[in-house]
Amino acid sequence: MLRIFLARVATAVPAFFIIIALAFFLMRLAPGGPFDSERALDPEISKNLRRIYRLDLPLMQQFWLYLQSLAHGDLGPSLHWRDFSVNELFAKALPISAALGAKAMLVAIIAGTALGLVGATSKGRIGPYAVDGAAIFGVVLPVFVVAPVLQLGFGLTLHALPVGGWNDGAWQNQVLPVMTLALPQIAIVARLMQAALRDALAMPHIRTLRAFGMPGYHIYIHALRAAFAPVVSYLGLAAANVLTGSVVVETIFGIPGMGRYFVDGALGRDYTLVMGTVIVVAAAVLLFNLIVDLILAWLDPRVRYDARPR
Amino acid sequence: MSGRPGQRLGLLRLFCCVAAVLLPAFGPGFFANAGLAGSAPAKMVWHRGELGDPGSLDPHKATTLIESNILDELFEGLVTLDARGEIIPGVASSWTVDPSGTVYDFRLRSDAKWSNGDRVTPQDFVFAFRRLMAPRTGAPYANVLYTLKNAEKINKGKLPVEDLGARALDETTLEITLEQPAPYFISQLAHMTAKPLHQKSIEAFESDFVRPAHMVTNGPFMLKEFTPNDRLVLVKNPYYYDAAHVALDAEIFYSLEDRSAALRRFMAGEILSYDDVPVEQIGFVRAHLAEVFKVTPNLGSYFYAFDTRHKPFDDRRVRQALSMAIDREFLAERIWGGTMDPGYSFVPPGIESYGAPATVAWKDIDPFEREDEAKRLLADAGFGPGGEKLEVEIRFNNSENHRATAVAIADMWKTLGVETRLLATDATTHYAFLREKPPFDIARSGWFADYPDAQNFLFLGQSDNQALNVASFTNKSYDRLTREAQVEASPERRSAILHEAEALLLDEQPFLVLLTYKSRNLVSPKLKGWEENVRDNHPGRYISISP
Repeated sequence: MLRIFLARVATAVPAFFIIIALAFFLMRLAPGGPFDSERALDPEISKNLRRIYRLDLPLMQQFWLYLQSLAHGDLGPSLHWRDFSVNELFAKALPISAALGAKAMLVAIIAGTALGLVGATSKGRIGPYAVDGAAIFGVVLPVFVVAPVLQLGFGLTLHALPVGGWNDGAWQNQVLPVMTLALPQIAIVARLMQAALRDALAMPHIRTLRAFGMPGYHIYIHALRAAFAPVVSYLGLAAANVLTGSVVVETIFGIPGMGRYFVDGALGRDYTLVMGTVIVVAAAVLLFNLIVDLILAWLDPRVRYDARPR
Repeated sequence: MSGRPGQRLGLLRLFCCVAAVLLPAFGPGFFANAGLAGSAPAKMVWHRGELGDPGSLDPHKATTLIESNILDELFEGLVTLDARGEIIPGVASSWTVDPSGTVYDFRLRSDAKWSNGDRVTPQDFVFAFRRLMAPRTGAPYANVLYTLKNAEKINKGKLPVEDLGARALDETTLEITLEQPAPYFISQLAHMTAKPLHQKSIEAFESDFVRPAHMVTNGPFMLKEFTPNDRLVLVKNPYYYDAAHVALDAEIFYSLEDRSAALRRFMAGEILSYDDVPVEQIGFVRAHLAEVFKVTPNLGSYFYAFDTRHKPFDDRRVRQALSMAIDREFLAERIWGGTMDPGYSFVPPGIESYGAPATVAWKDIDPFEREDEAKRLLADAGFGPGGEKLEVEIRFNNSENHRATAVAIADMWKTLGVETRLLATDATTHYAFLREKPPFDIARSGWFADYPDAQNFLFLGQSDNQALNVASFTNKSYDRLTREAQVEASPERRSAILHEAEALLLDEQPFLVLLTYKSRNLVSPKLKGWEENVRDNHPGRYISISP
């Protein structure tokens, strides 16, 4: 287990550095800069601003300065949100996105697993197809359709929940965004679960357990353990995605999370903000990949065995 | 179902266990806030939806309209605006101008106070103006107040800030000296760059003075909370001299970039106003929300700029022909859903000191005749049947409406035998392109007034206006006229000169005028004191909310 951990960390560190360097230089290739907007600035004022934000220095020197402040955990000042540092922005936004994303993932795991179980175990004709149908529906419906429909239904028609806003994270304000985020994940988890569980239930060791007359839940625990492997592989990447915020969901529901910084930062050439979002997402992807590897190794002894040097 | 009873029970048990483990993960806060909305005391709060957030609350770093609207609530300059957007005395109760038109003496109100109880002094303005011009501040819009003596030289590092034409004569009198007479100076003072600043808090907290805990302001409201992309909370400033007449307890600004979602929130009553509508839903809004939908002319122009440095757009006839062939009523009504007005002038109507703007000579000519005339002009310039084929490229910043406008124009130009290519880029790329000005054919541009004066539009065509003269238009007579207007003391004569300049600009048509902007607001009938105006400025000071 420790070996897997160390091996993964050893590859993650250089990958992380390469991502930072690529993002830094690619961002500078985009035309325009943070001070270009509808109203053009006086050339001398613009030059002065570039000097104040040290954008006039040679690019390699800027990169070096950036790495230095990064080593101190400082992501720099935001060029658009000029009263805030990127650290301050993320300190507020990341917990919000992560909390919403975590709730959505929990809902997805519970509901997806339940649906998958029903689909895999129902013997009738309708059960499996119903789960498949519902799952496909959940996958193909884009978030920007689901979110407004939920707003119209629960907010405007039923008056049961607020249409949007964060309201300091009141639970009413979280229900619709969590539903919107969870829906496609439920669908995917359900499909993966159903397929994997059906395979697992047909495996020889399960047949043996049945033959010994083991109680139902005992059999399912064994089957689920095998069936969870593909689901966990998927959930790792999905979690890295969902926990770092969705721009569409956050914009439609007016949630002050990370999602909007990705797009606004890139469109406004807010270099430091873009770098910050890249670093957060890269770190999340690397971290969740590591966690997934460890969980898979725990779930399946063969993974541990394969990781041994031979 | 043919499953055994034991099997089903097992599943149930499994899920009960999972649920019991996971439920606390939702956190106590998930349920604790239930009913929060109903528990607050009944205060008068204006929930205000806005299309964006302020990038900065430092008046010297701010650049956008939304920033300007919020800063007007937080700070009050020498002059301020009433509910109709007209200029009224602010911190200055009165002022005098010397005969040369360059020295202004402002008498400050003795009851003007900062939100910590300090008096607002002339020195606060001197401090603010010096900070605005100091190069190390990096104020993007410092040039709006280059009207002050030595301001430009100070801002470019050629003189020390102490040489700025602003000084405190005594405890209540501020003297401002101008570089040269500027009849629009008083209206410039309503701009966000002309706000006073609280010297002590800025010296103590530097750029952090904008934090709610540190910010000291002198307007009707003060800052309570600001979370980007969430909300900005302003509360009534008890030290404001007119606080007795401010009905609101608080204003909460919500940044709502998704116009459709904002419309739904407005309909649900979560916000009482919103400063935009989704144009694609304009039919719905007009049909169902006609009472609360306010469309008002605004001081903004939407135009295309020709690159007049290059053939064939250095030829007035080509520019004029392309302009004549455009059906502006179609653009305004069909593309923009009536949220724009057809534009036949460069200065939009609605500037009181200017009156009705000049218009293109062919405004009232029948469209068919106009088309014939356009073809004739193009033929004279060597294009069309028997001549060259005119091919043009329109560059624009990508948005659905800009694209639809360009497509419609390309179609209108087809009748002249002109072939049009469209090139859309993201906004930053587009504006960076216009700044660097490599050769182009035609580019979309626009302008909103900093202050309501015709000069603030017409200076876009001056040859020395490097940054904003997108068309690179140079015309000696035009430059002379705008210079004459600058020093003309008589308002009537000045207006006449400016009209002459505008007529010249329209005749030359370096900027292809297309449309003038209208503001579009959704305003709940509960909001009292909200008045439509050309500045689209709605100070909370005059607003009250009926239950």
